[in-house]
Amino acid sequence: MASEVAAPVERVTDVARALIPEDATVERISSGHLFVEGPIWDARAGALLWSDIAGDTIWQWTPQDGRSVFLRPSGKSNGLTFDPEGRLIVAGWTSRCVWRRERDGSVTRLVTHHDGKRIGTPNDIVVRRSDGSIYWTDGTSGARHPGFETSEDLQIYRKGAATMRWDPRTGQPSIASAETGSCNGIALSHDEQILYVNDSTARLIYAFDVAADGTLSNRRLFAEKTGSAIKVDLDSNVWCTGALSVTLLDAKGAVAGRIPIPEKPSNLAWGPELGDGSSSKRDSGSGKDWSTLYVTAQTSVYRVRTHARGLPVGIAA
Amino acid sequence: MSTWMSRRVAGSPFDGELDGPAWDGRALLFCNATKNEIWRLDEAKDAPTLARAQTVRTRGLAFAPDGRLYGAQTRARRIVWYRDDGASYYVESAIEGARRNDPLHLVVDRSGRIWSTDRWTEESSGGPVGFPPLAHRSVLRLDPIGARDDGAGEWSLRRMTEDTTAPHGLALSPDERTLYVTDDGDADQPPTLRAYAIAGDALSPGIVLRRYERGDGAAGMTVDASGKIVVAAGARDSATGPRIEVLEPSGRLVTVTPTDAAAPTACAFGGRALDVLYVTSGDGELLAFRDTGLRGVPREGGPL
Repeated sequence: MASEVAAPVERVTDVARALIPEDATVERISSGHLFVEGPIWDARAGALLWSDIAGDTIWQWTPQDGRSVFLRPSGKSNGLTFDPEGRLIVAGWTSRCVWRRERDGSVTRLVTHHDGKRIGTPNDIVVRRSDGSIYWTDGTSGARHPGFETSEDLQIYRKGAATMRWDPRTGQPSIASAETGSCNGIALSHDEQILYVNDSTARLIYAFDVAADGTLSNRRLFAEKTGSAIKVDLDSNVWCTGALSVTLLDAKGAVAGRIPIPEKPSNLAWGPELGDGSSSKRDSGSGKDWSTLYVTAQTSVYRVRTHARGLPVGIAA
Repeated sequence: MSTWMSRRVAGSPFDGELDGPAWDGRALLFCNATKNEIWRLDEAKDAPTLARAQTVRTRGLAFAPDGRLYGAQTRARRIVWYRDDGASYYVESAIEGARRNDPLHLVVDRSGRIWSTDRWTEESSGGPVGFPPLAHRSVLRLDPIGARDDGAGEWSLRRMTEDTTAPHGLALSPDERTLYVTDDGDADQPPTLRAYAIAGDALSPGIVLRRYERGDGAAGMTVDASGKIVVAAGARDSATGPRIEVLEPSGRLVTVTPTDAAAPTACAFGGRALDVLYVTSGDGELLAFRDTGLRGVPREGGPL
């Protein structure tokens, strides 16, 4: 059952005063999970999807019908996103692969190895709409913590984490950057010119320029004292998870405001306005209907209405 | 006191806490828990080589009768099968509807059942899921119950001891009718060495073979082919100091050998004739005693 939680928001700058309602209310839409991650709005189905990693399940939720199992077992999936064709793209975490769910429900493993060795534990993931490139954070922590085991090989072969890219033209993975520390969250700006990556241990966000061929350059520090996951809006603001909040950073990386969340957030996603799961179909281009933040946090999923123009996902560029 | 002479193995001291020695028939494997590494000392070579990295704080190793190597990944609260090709596979950590604590040392009996000590320490972690500790610190046993696609098999995990508070090392007598367990004790109970008769599928109540002063207790251990219990015990600042104790199955102390290592963590027999006693230490030392007059228990199906 959904329940509302008082949210005394912080609005430090005019950016926050414009984007975070003073009376913002955080609503819990699902609870009782083991460890949730990877929320994503499915614009075609009008449903929110998310992973309960340790629960080995991808859940779906609609305002009309509530929560139901979308996929179980999930291979203990983590981050979720959609490609421009609306196919679910999954950071497989301890199934040690990046996989795609085809329209007929079958699964295609896109990446399992790099340089002849099993990849790490894919954590969060984003698709570049313009060419179908997939960027993901490839860490090791999935193999180091209790509760995330699958029947796949648990051994980590590469020391350290890396931000990786799958090239749709070659079907091959490569390391996009090995200089993103304990990389975790990942997001592309709305014009796909900038890639943001969280280092959740150092609590930093790095930004890269993205070239036409998909390569990264000009790594720079975008923000400090941040959390583990990020999403951007159409006005170049960056929304990231914090200790017990979602933090709004302006386009220059300065803290603009915060929305308290009752549990430690792990990730977030843009979706349609409260109570109307179909509105995204009507107005996906402007972002007007992608103004609700859906937040996964420990055992629960929350949502909160904003005035931001969220970045649509799974819609052709 | 004995007059055993130890030799420091080449490469020793290592930078880190060593533990979990196990002989595979041709080489000694041991853990550098601090560095998350497993090293291999081949008899024919002068110095150990790195066998595996990223071992998630593995502290205990044991070979099964079929030659499979199992490791206790303390930080991840699980036992894994370390496959020869470099892969590692989860065994089972679910018990009583919960997650086990940290496994430390382990031994595999002739039936392929994996016995392990299970603890909760300052380093223990619930991980992102927040698994709570079990209400007890016991010896647990994994029993194989079926096949699994990855080859690691299906297992059930059950509690075997009811009276332990911080079990540390364990060993089976050569006839596998007795389980020996060292326990670090707690505020109410001193460190002990205990013996449990294995009766069918259960253990009889434990018998305390030896009590130690706090901080001076026993860690890892092994047995020799005649049934003597060989225990790594003490520390540089403890009452009796770092040492190897040899005891009769009754608990009667036979010999005590001081070690150069500051904090012996475990011991295992190795060498072609299983007549070399290797000792690991928390200060990175790997020692070899070659004149103990003791021999290890040959592994069924193994090279010896």
